[in-house]
Amino acid sequence: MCGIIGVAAQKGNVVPLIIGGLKRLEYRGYDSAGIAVVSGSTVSVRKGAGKIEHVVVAKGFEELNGSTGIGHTRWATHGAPNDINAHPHTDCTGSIAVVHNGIIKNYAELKEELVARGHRFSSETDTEVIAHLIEEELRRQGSFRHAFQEAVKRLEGSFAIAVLYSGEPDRIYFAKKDSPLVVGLGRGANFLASDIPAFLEHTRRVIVLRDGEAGWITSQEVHIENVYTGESVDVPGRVRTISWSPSMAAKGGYPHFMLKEIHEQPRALRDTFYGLSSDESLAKAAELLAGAERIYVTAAGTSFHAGLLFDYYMLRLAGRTVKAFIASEYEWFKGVPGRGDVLLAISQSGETMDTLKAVRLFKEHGARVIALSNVYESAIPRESGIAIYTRAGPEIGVAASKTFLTQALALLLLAGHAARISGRITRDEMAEIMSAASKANRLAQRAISVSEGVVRTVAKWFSKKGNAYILSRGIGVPIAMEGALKVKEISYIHAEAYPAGESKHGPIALIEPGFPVFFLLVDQHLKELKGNVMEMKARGATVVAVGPPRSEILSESDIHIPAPEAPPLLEPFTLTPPLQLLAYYTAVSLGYNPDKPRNLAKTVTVE
Amino acid sequence: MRAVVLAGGTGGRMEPLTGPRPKTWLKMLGKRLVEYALEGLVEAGVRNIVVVVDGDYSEMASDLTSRYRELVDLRIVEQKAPGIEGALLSARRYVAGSGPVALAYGDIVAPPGFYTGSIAAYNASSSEALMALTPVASGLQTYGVVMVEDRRITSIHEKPTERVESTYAYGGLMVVPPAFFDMVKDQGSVASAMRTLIQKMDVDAYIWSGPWYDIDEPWDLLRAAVGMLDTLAETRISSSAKIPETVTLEGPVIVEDEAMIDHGAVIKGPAYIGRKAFVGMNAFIRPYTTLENGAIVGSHTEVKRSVLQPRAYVASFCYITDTVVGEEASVSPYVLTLNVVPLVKAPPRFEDLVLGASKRVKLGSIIGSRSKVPPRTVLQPGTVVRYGEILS
Repeated sequence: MCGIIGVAAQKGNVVPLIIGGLKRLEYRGYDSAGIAVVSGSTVSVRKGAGKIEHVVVAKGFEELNGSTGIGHTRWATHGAPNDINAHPHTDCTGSIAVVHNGIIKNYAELKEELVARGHRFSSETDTEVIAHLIEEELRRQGSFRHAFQEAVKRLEGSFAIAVLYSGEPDRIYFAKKDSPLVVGLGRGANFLASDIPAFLEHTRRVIVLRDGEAGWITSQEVHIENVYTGESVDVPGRVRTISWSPSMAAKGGYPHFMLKEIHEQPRALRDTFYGLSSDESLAKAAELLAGAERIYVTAAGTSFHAGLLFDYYMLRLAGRTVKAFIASEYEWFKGVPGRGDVLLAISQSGETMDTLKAVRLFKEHGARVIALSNVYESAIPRESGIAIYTRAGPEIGVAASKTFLTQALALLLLAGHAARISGRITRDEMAEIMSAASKANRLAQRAISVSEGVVRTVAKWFSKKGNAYILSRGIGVPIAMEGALKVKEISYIHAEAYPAGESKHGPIALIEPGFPVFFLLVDQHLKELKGNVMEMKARGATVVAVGPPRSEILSESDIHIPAPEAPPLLEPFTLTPPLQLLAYYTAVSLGYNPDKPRNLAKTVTVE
Repeated sequence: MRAVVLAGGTGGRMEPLTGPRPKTWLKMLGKRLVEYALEGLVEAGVRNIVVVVDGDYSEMASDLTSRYRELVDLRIVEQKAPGIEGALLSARRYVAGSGPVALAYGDIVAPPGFYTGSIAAYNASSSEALMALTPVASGLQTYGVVMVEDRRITSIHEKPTERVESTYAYGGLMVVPPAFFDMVKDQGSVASAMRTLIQKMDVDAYIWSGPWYDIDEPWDLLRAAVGMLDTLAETRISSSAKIPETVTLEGPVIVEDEAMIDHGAVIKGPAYIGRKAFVGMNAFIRPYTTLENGAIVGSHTEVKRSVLQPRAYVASFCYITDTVVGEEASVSPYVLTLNVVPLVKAPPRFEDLVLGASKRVKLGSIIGSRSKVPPRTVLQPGTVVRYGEILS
């Protein structure tokens, strides 16, 4: 995910408007930023790696001046976040500047073709091909407009593009497919942006572009057509007036970021699956694991629960034991790891200090390190030998939601590949895992759809309780732990997770009539779980069954939160969303803001 | 944006309370049901509204016209053919042309945010249509159940008899292109026009997680009263209400203009005491009770979780719980409502009120409008007294 903005004004300098827009788009990415303006008939570009406010100063954005310009804030996917890979990208002549959000799937073949024709590339990005492709088409076509259209037609993948051309200094060309792009109609200026908040303080009149639409804006006019069919769009008929406040717009109409991010999980899982399917690092990491003497996994908070799922997957699929440890306990391992060992370090932000310390310790001992993060080239991936990435997009709610499930998916794929490489599973079994993993997004969607109504009501009841247990067995245990963490983090109700069989070794002492006990129904362990349910019932607990309708358990339960059927190993995708929603709706029932839990920070960069 | 509000239909199941009048004319917390949609749409910026009515609607038409004339371009249209299809087709010629139309149902009780949120979401989208959905816990078989993939609607199942993997009920609000009305005409059914819409164009899902109640049967009024009163944050008492010092008010309570509460009465909120309502001496009004305008509760009477429609009269020494009393119904002294029924006999949407409790649900009676209940009657749980019926 990246953010793009373009402003075409009748007069004056658009640079402050672009910088303002970039700051509002920062949530879409913040590893590098750039700007291009046309003044006279020259396109000037400034760009660099770092947070927007630093890049703006370091690269002297405000030294530029022009009434037409584009800007970009980046969340790297192709090529490290550095000054060269930052957008805008230009063609060989420097007269065409491009900003882009999305992934050009056929960029390698386009690049090869363009290099053969003598184009010189300076970055590793997929975006740069667009600039050179337009330049190439411009040699053949009479007009820039046609050159742009022809170039867009050749792009495969997803894109929202804004382009400046020195030959037409008052225009910004644009095109959109599978990545968002919105036109804003102002007085004396028109706008283009990835998202409405970027220009909401200047205009509320917008056209939300549809896939395949392309065109241009000037300060006075907007032209839109379907680039594939050539049909032009009735611009006045498409104008809508935004009634959202800027904060509502940022949340996409949801009351909180957390609910938005819970609902974004299907998309995040799909993006992560496709991202990893074409990522060679995954195979390299799997090879490393398959050849490792000992395997460790470390993380903190939600990421640690993903690590426990990895532990489970490696045991079940690859027959390997994994030592999972909480990152802050890294000092225990002084003198333990050796050269043949591998550490998997999981951190959403890639900046978690405890996890980073663990990585450094293991490296000092000669162990190899694999990083799993949601932020490209952040500290932990940079310091690790191999990095694999989830594609959850930025997560704003402090309590992790979508990043957990995308981590679970990445780790399932990683364990599957490791098992295949070490010969523990057949090619067919691997194909089965891949096919199941490709459906994780749909499972999560169904889990949200099928539970939200019930959870909303259960939360009203639950919000009056002070304590709860969340119990399960097998793969359900890490899910229960994640659920208990969510409940604690945002609804401030004391919830503990245990393997269900462990409850009678202590925790059951707290059970009294009406004490809520949630059971996550994992098919492999239904029989044992039933025994645990009976133990709790006998002591008057209110039993909440979470899972597919299993009559033998439901007959003994007080409340049922439904979840869809899940193939083995995929229960995290069906059982986690109901618990996330439970924590969310309970917090809301109690009047708390789930996006900003007290005492917590999104990224913990202290020990 | 323009809007059509469907306000006709006496609603078969609502008949004890409505008689010949539209059910959207019933009251909830001082407002006609239809006003929830009207106020929400006005707040969402809609300035052009067609209200489709039928039955005995003359009072409704003049009342709405006089009160909303200043705010919107309001047109009252009589329904020409039966059913929801008839209602839509009666409005069709007023929404022809270009530009989207918000289609709202006048029997939904929800705060304005339901409307402002849905319409704002539509305006921020590239899709041609949007449906508002709401997650519901029980009674899915009584709603249109909607399947969603990544914020897009993929299918709708009207009153499904089999389990559908979704808890999203269609919320009775959609934004459609005018062509939708042509689809209704061509296909003769709103359900199939909705399916066509979903097949032909992108239909966004707006998921509303605030209070929302579809008033389909009398018991829904109880659910709505409980749900809306739950959102009451503070007490609000009109300066023209008469409340002597001996009255005890506890918890959030709304008391409207010229209401009268007599000595020794105890009102435990959340509760609503409407305009010119009267609460007699030593009466006990327990939580989740609404008295609409002119409703009367006699002395020493106890009322719990009940809805009294306008000018309903409950005499002295009664015990009324979990009950809906219709407009101008008359309940004589010493009437008792019994209220415990096993969960299996509860209406399908009621399950969500009893979660975590025992497997029982508390339901009193539906006492029809203009009916009379004689002294010392004991009403069994779930009793329905018909419109105008005089019990002997």
